[in-house]
Amino acid sequence: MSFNLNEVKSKKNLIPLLLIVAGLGLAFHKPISAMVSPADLELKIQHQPIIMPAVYKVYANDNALEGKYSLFKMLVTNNSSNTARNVEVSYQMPNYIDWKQVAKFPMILPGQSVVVNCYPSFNEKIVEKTTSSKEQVNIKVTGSNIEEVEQSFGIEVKGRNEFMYTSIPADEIRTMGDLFDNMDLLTCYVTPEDPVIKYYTQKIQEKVLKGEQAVVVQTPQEGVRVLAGIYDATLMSHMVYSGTSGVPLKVGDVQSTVQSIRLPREVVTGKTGLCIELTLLYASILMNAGLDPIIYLVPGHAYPGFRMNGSYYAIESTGIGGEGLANKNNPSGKYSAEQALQMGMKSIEEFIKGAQSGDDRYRIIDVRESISKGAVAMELKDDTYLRQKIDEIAQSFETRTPNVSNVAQPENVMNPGNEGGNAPDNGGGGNTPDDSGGGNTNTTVPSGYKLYQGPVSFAYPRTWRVHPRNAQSSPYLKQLISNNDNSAYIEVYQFQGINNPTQGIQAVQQYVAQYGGQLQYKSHGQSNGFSLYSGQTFFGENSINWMAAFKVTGNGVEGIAAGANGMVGQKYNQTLNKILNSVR
Amino acid sequence: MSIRTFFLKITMCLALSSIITSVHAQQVVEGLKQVFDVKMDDKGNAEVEVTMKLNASQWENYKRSPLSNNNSILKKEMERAMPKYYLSDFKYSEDQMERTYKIGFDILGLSTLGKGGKWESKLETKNPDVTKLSDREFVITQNMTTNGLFINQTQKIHLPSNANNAKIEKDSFGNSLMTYSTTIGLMSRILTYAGVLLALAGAWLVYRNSQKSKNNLKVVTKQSAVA
Repeated sequence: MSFNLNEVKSKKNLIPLLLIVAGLGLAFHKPISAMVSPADLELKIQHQPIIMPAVYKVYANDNALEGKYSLFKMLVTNNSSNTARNVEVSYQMPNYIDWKQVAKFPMILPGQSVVVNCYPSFNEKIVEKTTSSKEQVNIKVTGSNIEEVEQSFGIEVKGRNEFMYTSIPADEIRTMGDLFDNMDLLTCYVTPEDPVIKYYTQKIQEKVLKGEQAVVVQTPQEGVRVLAGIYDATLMSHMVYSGTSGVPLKVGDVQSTVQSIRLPREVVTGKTGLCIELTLLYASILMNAGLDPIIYLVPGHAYPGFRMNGSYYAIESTGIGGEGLANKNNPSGKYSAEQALQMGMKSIEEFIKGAQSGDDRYRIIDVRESISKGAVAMELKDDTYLRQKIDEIAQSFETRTPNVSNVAQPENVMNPGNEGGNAPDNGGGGNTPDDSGGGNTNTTVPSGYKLYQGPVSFAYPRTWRVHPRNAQSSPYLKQLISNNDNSAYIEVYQFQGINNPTQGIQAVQQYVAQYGGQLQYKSHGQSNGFSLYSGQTFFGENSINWMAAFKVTGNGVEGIAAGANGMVGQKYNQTLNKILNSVR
Repeated sequence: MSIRTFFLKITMCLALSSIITSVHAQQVVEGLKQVFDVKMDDKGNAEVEVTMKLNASQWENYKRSPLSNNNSILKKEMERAMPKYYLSDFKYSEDQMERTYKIGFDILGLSTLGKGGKWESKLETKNPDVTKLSDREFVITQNMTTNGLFINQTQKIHLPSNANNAKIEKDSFGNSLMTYSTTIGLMSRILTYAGVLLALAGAWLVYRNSQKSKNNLKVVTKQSAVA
């Protein structure tokens, strides 16, 4: 008997070996399929037209201005029939940013898209850049079963002073406002934390204003004195108005003017500034002083101011002019602080008209709000030489007391309220609420409240906002004041030609009915000469609970209604009672 | 990506551009109902339909605004208001008799797929008012006021048909996330496990055969010796 032992062995092991091979094939089907047929990713990239070094902190913040200023936004779509695995997206900007991972996706399914937004952290040294250069951004997409994809785009990095007014492609421009779409970034040039500007502010406070307490007393007079003090400081230092370059630039689909904007420290020490530069300087100093700076933008011009107690104030900062700008009407080429304030206040009136007409070139920038949205200033280092320059400038300072009482108090330009920082509506016809004292009223103002003086006077919480009237407002409504989320409010009414408070309530009732609402009220007799009412107003499923106090005056019936949305319950009852009790 | 932020932006776009012109004064309490219908597909994209029903006054204002005559403005405004997203396939329709208009569009990549087939969508809020209607349907309600306009917003979110284990979780910042799993990758895992089992079975058979061969060889050797 004879047989081949090897033959027996191989025959017996054939099936197990096949099982092992098949098993390994299945167990490692992912890498095997990746080798045979890798996933195919398609990239679509949108990127900024240029980099403005002054706004480098905005580029780094994915929440700043809704994340609008990413370096690039990329749509990655898996167009293959295989799942892409362990996909990593990295980018690099030679000379500025080394290779950095921006996103990682464990899987991208066939047909799936993912969105990558890149918010680069530039080194703060980027603000030392004073000239433009062309740079490249390289993007790399890698993964365990994809072929590495690399794409690049060129981008111009401007100097720190250069500002592009819009990033919207030319064929998408519809309104004048679109041409100035980047205006929210202007606050990146407001530098209250710049040690040089802080030092300059201190010099003004010390030498020009001889102390100020605008933020403590919150009176318009004191605020206006600060504004005039800044103006006087620029005047006394012989600062002059001068232009800087603004050139049209075409980058890809975008066409825009690129303006060279000097930083506030450069304006102070160079003793010259354009309207927007002076405005940014004022905003920086006002912020340092604790005020709420406002930048007014009108076609071809900008001027600074502040907001206090719901009212807006402004000054014509370019009134400093210069002897070279002298003319027949202005032989010295410059205006006094009083004149500049008068001009500023007049400009606000014109601003309101422009904004009311719907021209979106008229807009305001609430500096603190814009900063809170992420449009923050660059880091600037202290500079001994610049401090010395400021010391020299401060030697020209002398105390002057501008006659701010002659400055026309502005109409009550109301809080614009709309998120875009657009122009305020007209506050025309409104009565300026003012807690500056001196009113002929017996209204007691509790702590944390301020005084409203109009057809009637009353105290209301200091944090509440005065709103504008508009064309759609009830004809009887003279003023609307509300808390921040508009869940509680006060309405000031004036009904002419009637002599019965109940008729007033009924007029409102009719008005509400016109808009599909329903108003129910109950009379509660009289107190302090006022007829008291309470009631509810319904609009659909929403309701508002209110109390009202009306009285007959020489002008008809006047009074207020104070209420809160039904959804907030009793939360404001105490506040509303305080308001009602203060009505005189 | 954040569903809630997205809805708030749309609210702002729609409210500010069409409705807000009619408010103030008495309209402080006037409510506006917005219904968002969001259908997530199995690729993480969302098909969104926003329905706005207006009252007579609001409708008149809306019809006077450029938006109702030039819908491309609405598209552009939305794209600008939501710069982090990729929006596509805009659709617009209105029913004048019912004073209603609808806007539809897709958001690409609203949900992202993590490890183990788990999808995530950020809600960017700490404590959303979420009602789970079924394993694959959620309703988020919120009330807000925008410039005195009271808005009652309802967001209906429909997850894909293969979604399961949907829940609201928190990320490391305490923000809420909507997460769900799908059967994606299940077949791949089954194949992998089956492969491992087959390979182990094959290896065991090889081992067993080698043991048998050794025994046979001993028998054959003994028999040969006897012979």
